[in-house]
Amino acid sequence: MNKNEYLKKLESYLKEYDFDDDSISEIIEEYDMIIDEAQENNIYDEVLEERIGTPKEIAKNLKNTGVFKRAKENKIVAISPFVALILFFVLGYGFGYWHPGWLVFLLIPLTAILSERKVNTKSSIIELTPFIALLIFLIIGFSLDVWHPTWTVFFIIPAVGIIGENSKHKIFTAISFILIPLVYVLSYYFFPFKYNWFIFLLLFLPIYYGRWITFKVNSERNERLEKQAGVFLFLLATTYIVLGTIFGIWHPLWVIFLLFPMYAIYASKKELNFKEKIPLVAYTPFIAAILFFLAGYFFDGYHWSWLFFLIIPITAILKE
Amino acid sequence: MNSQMKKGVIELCIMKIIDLKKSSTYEILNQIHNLKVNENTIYPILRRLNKEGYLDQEKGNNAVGAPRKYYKLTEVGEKKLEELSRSWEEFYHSVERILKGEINDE
Repeated sequence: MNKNEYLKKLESYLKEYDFDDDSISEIIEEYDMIIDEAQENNIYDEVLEERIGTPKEIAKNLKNTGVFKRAKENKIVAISPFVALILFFVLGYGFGYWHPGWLVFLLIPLTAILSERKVNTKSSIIELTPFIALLIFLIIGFSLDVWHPTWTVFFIIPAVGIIGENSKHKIFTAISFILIPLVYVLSYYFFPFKYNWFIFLLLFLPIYYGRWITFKVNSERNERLEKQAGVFLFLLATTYIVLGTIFGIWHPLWVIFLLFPMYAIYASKKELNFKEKIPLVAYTPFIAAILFFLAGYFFDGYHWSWLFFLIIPITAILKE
Repeated sequence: MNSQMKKGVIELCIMKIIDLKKSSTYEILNQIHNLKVNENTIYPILRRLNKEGYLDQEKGNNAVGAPRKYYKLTEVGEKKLEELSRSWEEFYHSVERILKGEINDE
């Protein structure tokens, strides 16, 4: 048992369980001392790990004894729907900007992203990329009504994400995720061809060689989940391209991609073997966004469909 | 013995060990080892007892390596230990009487 590795693993499990920084350093200090003392007493590494438990078991057993950072951050995140709602009313009633005033609801996920403690600037940028991509997509979509092929902007998410990974061929993968969609957009405008979306099949090369889909549970890669996630994402993309081409409803069809983060929450929580049910609150931002866009598009109801965002605070209050 | 009951007994043992001698987590683990319990549940109990104010930690010098932290009972902890010991003795004697066949006729 390598002490540093063991403590590092323990730290990442504690972070996964959302222990606050003080609790983590207390626990790490304690286990540092236990291991030192055991080694001084010539306890063999294998015996020691068997006795004190694996980092995963320790974190699980300590679950009820820590102070959790989520409790502190939740206060800020919990206020954000109300702040967004007030801003939305001010923009709507005050200036008549119901649309695009609804964009203020994006403050809710933005607050959640920004309130999390970041390891470094690089990880902040990686986490903000989906949000930036969505913003570009919505601005171009609503202002120019060019939903297709603007959706290709979402490829910057895996392109930026792969940079932060210790993956093989990461530069090749990142460049492929920028270049292939770019070639598609150029071909769409300059060489229109019914099946030019076949270009996207080239993405399987970087996906295969770069193994960019990484699914981590407690900081350890879970290959089974990665395969499941890859298949699910592939099905979503295929559905989007096929239905989009047949019916031409690129917007709001893109909302099917919101099923992916919902799947990710479900799969990772299930893998952690949480006995308690996965909180419904975690899904509500996605459900609200899907309902908002569907009602807005099909019933021309963007001026009222924002009400769906109220299910986020309402669910939170009822579940509390 | 069900897990809840076991937890109570372990809590009592931990407090008694600390009462006899200020101890580090490792020393407590060593003493508890003979009870054949899951040792990775000991530290969570120590943390809880510490949080509830029954235990206190103090730094002590160590001749060989880095300084250690030792647990000691607080005043509240001492009272709690007395209370737990009394309950355990009452329980133990009641069980012993039954096992010896001394059953009340009433």
